[in-house]
Amino acid sequence: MGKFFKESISKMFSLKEEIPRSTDLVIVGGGLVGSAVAFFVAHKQTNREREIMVIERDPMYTTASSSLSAGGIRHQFSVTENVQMSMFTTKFLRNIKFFLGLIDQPPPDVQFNHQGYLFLATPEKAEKLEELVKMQKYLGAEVEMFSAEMLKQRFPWLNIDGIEAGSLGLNGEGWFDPHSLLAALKQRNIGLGVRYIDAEVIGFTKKLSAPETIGNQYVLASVISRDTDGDMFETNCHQVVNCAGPWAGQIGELAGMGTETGALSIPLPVVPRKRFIYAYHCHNGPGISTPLTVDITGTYFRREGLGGMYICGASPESEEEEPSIENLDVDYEFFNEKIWPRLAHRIPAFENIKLKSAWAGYYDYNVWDQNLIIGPHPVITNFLLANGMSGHGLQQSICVGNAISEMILNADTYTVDLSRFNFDRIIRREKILEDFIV
Amino acid sequence: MMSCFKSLRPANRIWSRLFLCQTRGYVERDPRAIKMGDLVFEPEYNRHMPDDGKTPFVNLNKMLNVVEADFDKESLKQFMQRKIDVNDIAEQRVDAKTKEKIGKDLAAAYVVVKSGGRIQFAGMDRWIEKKGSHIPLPNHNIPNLKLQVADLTGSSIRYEGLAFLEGTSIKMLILRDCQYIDDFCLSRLYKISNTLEFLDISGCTLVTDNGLAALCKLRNLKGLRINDLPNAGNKALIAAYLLDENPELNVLGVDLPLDHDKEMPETSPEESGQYSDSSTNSSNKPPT
Repeated sequence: MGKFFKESISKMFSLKEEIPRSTDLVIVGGGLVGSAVAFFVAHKQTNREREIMVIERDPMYTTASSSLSAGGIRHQFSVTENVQMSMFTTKFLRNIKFFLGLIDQPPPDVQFNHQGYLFLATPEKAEKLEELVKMQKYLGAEVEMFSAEMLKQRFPWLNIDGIEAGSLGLNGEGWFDPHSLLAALKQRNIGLGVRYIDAEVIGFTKKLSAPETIGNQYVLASVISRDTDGDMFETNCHQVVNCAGPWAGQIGELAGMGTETGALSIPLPVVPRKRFIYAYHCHNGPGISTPLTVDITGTYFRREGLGGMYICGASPESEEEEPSIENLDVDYEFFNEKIWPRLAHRIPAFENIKLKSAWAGYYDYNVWDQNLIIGPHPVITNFLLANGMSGHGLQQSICVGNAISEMILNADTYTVDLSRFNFDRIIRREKILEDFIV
Repeated sequence: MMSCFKSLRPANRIWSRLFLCQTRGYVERDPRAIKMGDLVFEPEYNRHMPDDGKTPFVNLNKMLNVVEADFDKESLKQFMQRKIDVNDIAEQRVDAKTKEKIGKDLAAAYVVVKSGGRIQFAGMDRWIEKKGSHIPLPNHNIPNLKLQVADLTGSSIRYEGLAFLEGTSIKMLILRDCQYIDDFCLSRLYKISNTLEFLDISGCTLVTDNGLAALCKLRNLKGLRINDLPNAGNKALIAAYLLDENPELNVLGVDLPLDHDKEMPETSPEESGQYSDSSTNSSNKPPT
């Protein structure tokens, strides 16, 4: 009797909505990039002209890079568009009340810490760093060069052995809580009429586009997805945006990239790469003005909260040392052997620390040149890419969302011109390389 | 072959609209459009939109000043607030030509006084403020005129408005009860970190703990008043951290915690015969 009662109650109250049969815009991936794309298209379009559907297979964002990110935002890059993209994101966060705020409610709080980033340089790299700081200042970034002595005065906890100079972000740089931003974006999107579907994309149907186009051009006619109960649905669509983060390569393959001949033989060069973050406590560690410091070895650390906690991490030095991506298990040996000795050398106070916890997340790593790939695929004309940010996804997500919305809504001008980052450079075998990778 | 893969930017702009035409067979007209005989006036017009041969579309957006807003109370409120924001930002800006003509300090003084605040120049004793709508400031460059104090109590100064700080040597800045001052504005104060000695941000409701933490950039600060900050729950703790780095700082408006790393007496109070004073300096402070 009890079991029958429970089953009928659950059937009565089951609010499972069917996935729509047709829609205008499908966004694969509901993380920061996908939600940003959905937000800007919904925010700018008139009168709900396009129906937008975001397909996310992990609705609690348990393994999403958006939630597991260290949360840093910086303007110090060597590629000019990267600088502009991050500055756009800072400007968005500054005006978050206008974009994502609801009337008469307090503005969404992303816990933005304004302490900035500090990049340290050896004597060989100091001159190059100075040139790059000049370029960043020219673009409007508020960054300043400091000599080693000035750094020691300002940050007494720093060991300047082997350091010639450093560049510090004075305003607009820092770190924040990515999950609050994601939640605010999702809430505003739902208010603007965007549908969030808990499903996994398992295929697309392709068809040849109209005969008057050049060569063999395809369009993605529909998206096939499987929801949490295992039922499959087909949704007709006009445009698809790939915002699948680390799994973008798989989505590209489902769309046909890397399978056939010609331009379709080139796969999307984005793979997941696992990165670790370790949280530790230090009594008498660096104080409240500590920026997110990036050492010459590539190891970084930042303060976390107000209780003496810090987090740190580093990218592996070579391809051979890349950890397995099968799961999100943490490698503590990496901390003990590679990270802690270097941290303790640079910041003597960190010789006495207590490791409290650690977690892992995936970078959406562009194996070609570790920079963004954005724009329509040359052959699959309604398939837009927004992938491969290789660890800078948080900082670039908002600007990428804006750029994709400008492409979709036929903007007369682009806020940040990202045409250099289109997929063509992969076909032409050209690289756009970024020096400041963390 | 390679010419197929030239940059697709010009095509991007019309392919989406073309695509909608092809798949749907028509482009939906905006329901707000006004139809008069053969002509249709639309609020939004895209010059790249293809002509479907049915009715001509005319761009009257700028002439008619059509308002793009939904007609319900919340949207109207938001629309009016947006108008106020845009207006404030336009008023609080000083263009480069004016700055060049009258100098940075005088341009800064103009912004402050125009926004309803008052200022003092170095070497003068009296406040200069707006009288009605008249701004009693000269409109030509006066050499060696340094802006020293800016009092913006209750004004609607914005993040963009704080650009007046650049290049000035302000010693005292009062941002009391400014409803638009938030954490980002406090971070922007780094521009006067060399000279600023006193800052008052009481009553700025948008300031949170992270904004107070951003005040670490003001390395020569001697006085800070932080009364009435309802959204900064941990302001006492952050004040203690700021004091760690800047021992000369005097923080007003908050009850500071006792020395949190005070050394415990080696012998118990009963044995040594006295209690240790909270005024004795502990030797455990981290180096500054």
